Amino acid sequence: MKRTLNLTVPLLAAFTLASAGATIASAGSATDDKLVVEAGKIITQAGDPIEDGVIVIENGRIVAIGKADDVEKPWDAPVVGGPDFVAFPGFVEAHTSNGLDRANENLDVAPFLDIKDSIDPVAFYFEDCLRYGVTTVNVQHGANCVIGAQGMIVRPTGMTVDAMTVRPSFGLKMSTGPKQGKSRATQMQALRDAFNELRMYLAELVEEERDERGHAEREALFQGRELEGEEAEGREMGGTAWKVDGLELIPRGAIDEKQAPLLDIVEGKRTCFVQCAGAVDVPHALELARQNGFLARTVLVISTDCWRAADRIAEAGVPVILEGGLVDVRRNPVTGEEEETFVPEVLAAAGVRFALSSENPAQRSLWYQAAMAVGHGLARDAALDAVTRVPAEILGLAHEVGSLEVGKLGNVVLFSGDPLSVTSWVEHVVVEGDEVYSRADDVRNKQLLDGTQPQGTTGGVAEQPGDASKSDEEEGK
Amino acid sequence: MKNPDSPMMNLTKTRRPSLALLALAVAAAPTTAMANDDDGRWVISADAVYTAAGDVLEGGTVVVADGKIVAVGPGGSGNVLEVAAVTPGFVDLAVRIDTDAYSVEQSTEASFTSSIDDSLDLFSYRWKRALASGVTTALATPSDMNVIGGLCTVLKTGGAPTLEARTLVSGAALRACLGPQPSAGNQAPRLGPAATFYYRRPTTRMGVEWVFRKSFYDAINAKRFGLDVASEDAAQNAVALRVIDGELPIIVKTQATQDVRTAIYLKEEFGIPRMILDDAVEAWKEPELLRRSGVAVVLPPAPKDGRVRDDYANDNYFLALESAATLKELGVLVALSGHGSSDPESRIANQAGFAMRGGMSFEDALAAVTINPAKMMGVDDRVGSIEVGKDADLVLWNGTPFEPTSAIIGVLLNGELVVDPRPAE
Amino acid sequence: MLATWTLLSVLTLPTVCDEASARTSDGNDSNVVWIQAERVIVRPGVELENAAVLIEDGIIVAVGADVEAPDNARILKGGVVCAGFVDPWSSLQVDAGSVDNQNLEPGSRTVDALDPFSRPDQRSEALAGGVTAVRAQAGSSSFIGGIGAVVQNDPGTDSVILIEDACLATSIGVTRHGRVNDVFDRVAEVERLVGQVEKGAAYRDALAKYEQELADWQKAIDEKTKELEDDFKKAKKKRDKDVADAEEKGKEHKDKKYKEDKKPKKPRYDPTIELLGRVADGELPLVVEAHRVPEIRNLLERTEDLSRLRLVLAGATQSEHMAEALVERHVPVMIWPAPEASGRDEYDGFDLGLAGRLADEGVEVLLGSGGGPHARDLRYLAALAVSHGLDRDAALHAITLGPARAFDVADRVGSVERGRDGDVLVFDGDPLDTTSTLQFVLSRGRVVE
Repeated sequence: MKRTLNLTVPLLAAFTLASAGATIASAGSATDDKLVVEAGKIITQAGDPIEDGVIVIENGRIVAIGKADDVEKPWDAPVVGGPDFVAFPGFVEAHTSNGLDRANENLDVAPFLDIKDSIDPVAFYFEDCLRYGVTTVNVQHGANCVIGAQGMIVRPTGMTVDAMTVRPSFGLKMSTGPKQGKSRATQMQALRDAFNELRMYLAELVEEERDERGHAEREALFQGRELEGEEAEGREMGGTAWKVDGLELIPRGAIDEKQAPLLDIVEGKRTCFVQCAGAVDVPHALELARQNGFLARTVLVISTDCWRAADRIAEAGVPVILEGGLVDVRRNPVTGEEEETFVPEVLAAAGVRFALSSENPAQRSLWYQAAMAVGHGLARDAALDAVTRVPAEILGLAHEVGSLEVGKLGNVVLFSGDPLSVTSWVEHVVVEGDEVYSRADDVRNKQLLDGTQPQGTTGGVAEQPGDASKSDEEEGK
Repeated sequence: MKNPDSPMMNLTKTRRPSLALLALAVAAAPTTAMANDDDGRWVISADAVYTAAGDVLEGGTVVVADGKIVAVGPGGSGNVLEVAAVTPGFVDLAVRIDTDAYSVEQSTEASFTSSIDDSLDLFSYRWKRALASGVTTALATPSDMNVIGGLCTVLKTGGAPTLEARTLVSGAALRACLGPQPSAGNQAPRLGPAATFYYRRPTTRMGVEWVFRKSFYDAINAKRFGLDVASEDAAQNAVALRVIDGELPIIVKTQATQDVRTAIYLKEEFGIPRMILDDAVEAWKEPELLRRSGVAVVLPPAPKDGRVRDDYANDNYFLALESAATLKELGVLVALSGHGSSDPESRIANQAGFAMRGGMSFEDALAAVTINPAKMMGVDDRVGSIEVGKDADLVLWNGTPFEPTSAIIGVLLNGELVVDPRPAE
Repeated sequence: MLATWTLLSVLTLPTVCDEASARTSDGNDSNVVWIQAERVIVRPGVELENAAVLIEDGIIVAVGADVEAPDNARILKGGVVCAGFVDPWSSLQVDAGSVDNQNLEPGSRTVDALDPFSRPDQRSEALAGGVTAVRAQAGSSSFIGGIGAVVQNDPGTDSVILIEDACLATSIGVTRHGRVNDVFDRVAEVERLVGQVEKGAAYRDALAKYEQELADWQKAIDEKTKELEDDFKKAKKKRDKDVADAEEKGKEHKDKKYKEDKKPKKPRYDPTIELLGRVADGELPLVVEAHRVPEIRNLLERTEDLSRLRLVLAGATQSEHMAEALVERHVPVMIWPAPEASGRDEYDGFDLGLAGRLADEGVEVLLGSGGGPHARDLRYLAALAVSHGLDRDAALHAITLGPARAFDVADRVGSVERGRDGDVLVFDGDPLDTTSTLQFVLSRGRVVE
C-alpha cells in the first residue's frame, strides 16, 4: 500500500479551505451542491413551525430540517439566513401568462404550438417572482384563444429557457370565455368543431389504413419526424368518453403533430387549463370536458364572477385557479347598490379546491393575495395552502414543492418577518439549493423604495429605466 | 289521552299560529335590541385603542353617546362591542367621488366661486363604498379639468343624505390643478376662427401656470388699485385674496416634479400661507423645496411597481415607496388617500400599510390617514383622533390595523353603527 | 255525488287549508298542487267550467270537474286557469354578445350562449308576466342566427332546456349595422338561404344514395369473396396448387383494384351541411324573418320543391298579401305586435291589425316579444292584437299552443292537459283582459313566489 495518503490529506485540506474561502467571498453560492438555511422560525406548511430551525439542502433537495440543536449541519456548506429571518416554502404560481413575448397566438386553434418558444428569461415578471418569493411558475398561453399552446412549468431563474425548465410541454390551454371577435355561441362551436375534427381525422386515418391507402407515415416523414421507438408503435386509443376503433394500426408518431396534443387531452394524458371569463362559461367548460373525457385532468382558470357557479364546480370535483382579484364587485341592476362577494369563502364553503394567482388588477403577488384573503375572512391555513400546497397539487408537483419537507426541492424564501405582514420583505430566495436572490443586491427594489436609478441606466424625470420593456410586456398580455 | 274532536284539540290547532307569532317575537328580539342601538350609546372595548392623539391604550375602552366620544377609558354604559383594535375614522382628502365633467364649470379655466356643493350626489353608492372602507370624513373636490376648479367641501360620508346633515365645512378649500390635465381638450386656433370656447389658453403647462398666476395677480392688483367694482370679478378676487391671506387653504394637484416646483414657486411668489399638494407622486424628488416651503402633501395610492400613468401627457411618473416616510422625516405634514377605488388594494387602510412597508412607523401612518388630513382642513377639533369631545367616528378591526390580514369589521359615524361587527343572527 | 263532495270539501277544506298554509309557511316544498277555478282553458276553444287541475311532481296528472284534492295538496283557488305562455321570439337569458353577433353559422347553438347567472331580474319579470317558456335565439338580426332552443323559465339558476335544437333561424332583408338593403340584395339573400338549404337536401339525398350503393357494393364484394373462397377450396381439393395459386393471385390482384376503384365514396361530411339537410327534411323548422312582399314571395316560390321543409315566417310586416300562399303551405306567421315597431325600415307600414287580418284569412298566427330580453310584455302585446281585431282564442293560441306546436314541444307545454309539464297560470279574470291580475304562476309544478 502506497503511503500517498499522508500527502493527499493536507492537499485535500488545502483544497477544501480554498473552496471554503471562495464561498465566503461569494456568499450564498453552493459548493459541492450543499446549502444550509438558518431561520429564527421555519414555517414548513407540513406541521408546526420550527423555532430556531435549520434546513440542509443537498443536490437541490432538502435532506434535513429541524431545530438547530437536532440537525447536523455539514461543515462545508455555506449558510444563508440567521435568527432574524422567517423561512417559508417558495410560493407556487399555479397559472400565469406573464413572462412571454406574446401571450396569445392569432390562430383560434393552435395546440401544436409550445410556450417554450415564447418565454423571455429576462422578462421583468420573473425578476418580480423572486422579489416576492415565487419559485415555481406554471406558464401557459393567454386567455384570448379557442385552443391555445402547450405550456410548461419553470423556475424563475436562469438565462435560457432550458435552464428555467422544470416540466416541459406541460398542460394545454383552452378557453370557453369567448376569444376576441367571437361570441359564446361561436366559441363553443369552434371548440366542438376542434374535437370533432380530431375524431374525424383519426377515423379517416384508420379507414385509410384498413383500405391500405394509408399515408400517415409518409406524411410524418415529410414533416420531419422520424418514427423511432415508442413513436413507431401503434396503441389502442385510450379515453373515457369516446374512442376511435383501430387506432392501434397507426404508429403514434404518424399522427399529425397538429392533432396529437388534442389526442393527449382526450386520452386524459395532459392537464387541461380551461379559462372561464364568467360564471356562464363554467358549465360549458365542464360539459366539454365530460363529453371529451378529460374532466379528471381539467383545471378551471376562473374570474371572480364565477363564484356563482361554485356548486357546479364542486359537483364536478375539479380544482380552480382564481384570477382577477379576490372580491367580485357588482352593481345590482335594479337597485344600483354595490354588492361585494368574497370569492374564496364561497369556494371553500362549496368544497372547491382553489389556488390564488398574482394575475389581478393591481398585479400584486401571491403573498399579498394570501394576506388579503385572510383579511377578508379566509382561515390563515387555507390562505397559505392556496399559494403553496394546492397549486403544487394542481401542477402534479406535490411531492416536489409546496412545503419544506425532507425529499422535496430546496425552494426556500427567507422573510424579514411574518410572510403575510405588509412590513415584511423577501430577503433571500433559494431555488433548488442555490441562493438566487438577495434583497441587499436588488437594485430595482432599491429603486422602488427610494427612486435611486440603477447604475448605468439613463433616464429623465419622467422616463424610468426598463420602461420600454415593461410597456412591451403589458402589450403582450 | 285527548279526544281529537274535542274543543281542546281545536284550541291546540289554533294555538299553533300563536306559537308562530311567539317565534316571530323571539326572532324579533334582536331587532328590539337593535332598537336600543338607536339611543347611540356604545361601550367599545378593544385589545388596543389607537387614538392618534399620542397614545395607544392596551385593553382600552371608548365610550360613545349622542354622537360624540364621551370617555376614553373604562366605565360607561351602553351596548357593548368587543373588538381587537379601534382607530379613528379615516379622513380622505382625495376620495374622488362625483368627479365627472359636471362637477366643474369649464366655460372658464379659473372658476373661483363655483362650489362642489351644487353638484354633489349624496345618494351615490360610492359614498357607501368609502364608508365601508373606513373613511368617515372626506373632502369633495371638483374634477381637475380646470386650473382653478372651485370651492371644496369637507363632509361626512354617511348619515342623512342632506348637505346640512353631512357637511362639516362648506368651502373648506380652493381646488387648483397644475400639470397637463387642465389644458387637455383646449386647442390653439390655427387656421380660422375658433369653433368652440375650448379654443383658448391654456394649451400647455406654461399656460396653466399663466392662468394661475394671472388670477392671483389680478386679484392683488384689483385690491391695491381699488378696481373692485360690483362685477363677477369681485367675487373671484375675494376668494383669491382669502387664499393669499391664509384664511382659505388651496389644495393643488401636482403629480410631476415640475408641477411640485411650480406650485411651491407660486406659493412663495404670492406668499400663500396654506397650500396642500394633492396626488404629489413625485414630491419625493424635491426634498429641499418641500422642507423650506411649509406645504402639506397628500399622496395617492402606491402602485405596485411605482409607476403612475398620466394619460394627458402620455407620461409615466414614479412614486417611490419610501415617499411617505421620507416626507415625514423632512418635517412635511403627510396624508395618504384612497381615491375612492373599488379595488381593495387601493383603499386608504391598505395604503397606510404600504407606507409602513416603505419605512413609515405605525404611528406616523395612522396620523397620515386621520389627524394629519384633519389638520390640513382645519377640522381637527371635530375629527381625526379619539379624544373626549370629538365626533364618534371610529373604525373597528379584527386584528392589527393596516395589515392586509386584518379586516375592518365595524364603522361608527357620528355615534351610529353603520357597519355592524356583530355576527348576523 | 256533487253534494257529498261539496259537503266534504266544506268540512275538510278549513283544516286542510290550515295544514296546507302551515306547510307552505315553512316553504314552497309541496309537490302536489290542486287548483280550482271557475274557468279552465285546456286549450283555446276547449274550456271547462268550475274545474280543477291536479299537478304532482311537476306534471299535470288530472284536469276536470271531478278532480279531487289529495290530502297533502297545496290548494289554490282562482278565476281562470290557462297554460303558461310560450314566447316564440325572445332572447331571454341569452348572452348579449351572442345576440348581437352577426357572424353566426348554421351550427352555432343558442344553448351555448344561455347565461343562467346574469339578469335574474329579467327572468323573474318574465315569470311575473306569465311567460313560463321561451324560444331563445341568438343572432337576432344576423343573416344566420343559428340553432334556437326552447327553454323553460324555471326560477333558480338552471335553464331547463326543453329542446336544444328547436329551429334554425335566419333573417332576410333586415337592417344590419344601420344599413338597409335594397330589393335586389334582399332577393339575393333569399337565394343564398335557399341555396344553402338545397345543399343540405342534396347532401341528404347523396347520403341516402351512398348508403344504398355501399350496401350493393358490399353485397357484390361478399359474393365475389365467397366465389373466390369456393374456387380456392376447389383448387385445394384438386391439388392443382401452382395453377390455383396463380389464379388466386391474379384474382386477388383484380380484387384489390376492384375494391379501390369501385368502392362508393361517402359524401364529405360537413356538420353545417348535415344540419341544413336536417332542416330540408323538416326535422327542424326554419324560422325566416322577412318583412316585405318580394322576399316573402321569392322565399315561398323557391322552396316549393322542398316539400318536407317546415317554414315559419317571422316579422312578416307585408305578409297579408301572401296570405293565401301561406295558408296553402301551412306556414305559421310569427308577429311582434309592438306599439312602436322598432323604427327600423323593414317595419315600415306595420300596423297592429296585421295579426287579426291574417288570422281571418286562415293563417296560423304566433305572437312573440320580438327577440329582446323582455318577455314580460307578451300578455299585453297579445291583448293589443285582440283590440285590433285578432280573435281572442287565436290570440291565446298564438302565445301558448301555437308556439309549442311550431317548435315541437307541444307534448310538454302549451296546454293544460294530462301529461304536460305543470306550467300553469291562474288569473282572476280573462288572461287577455289587461285588468286581470295574475294570481299564481306555476313553473314545472311549483308555485313561483
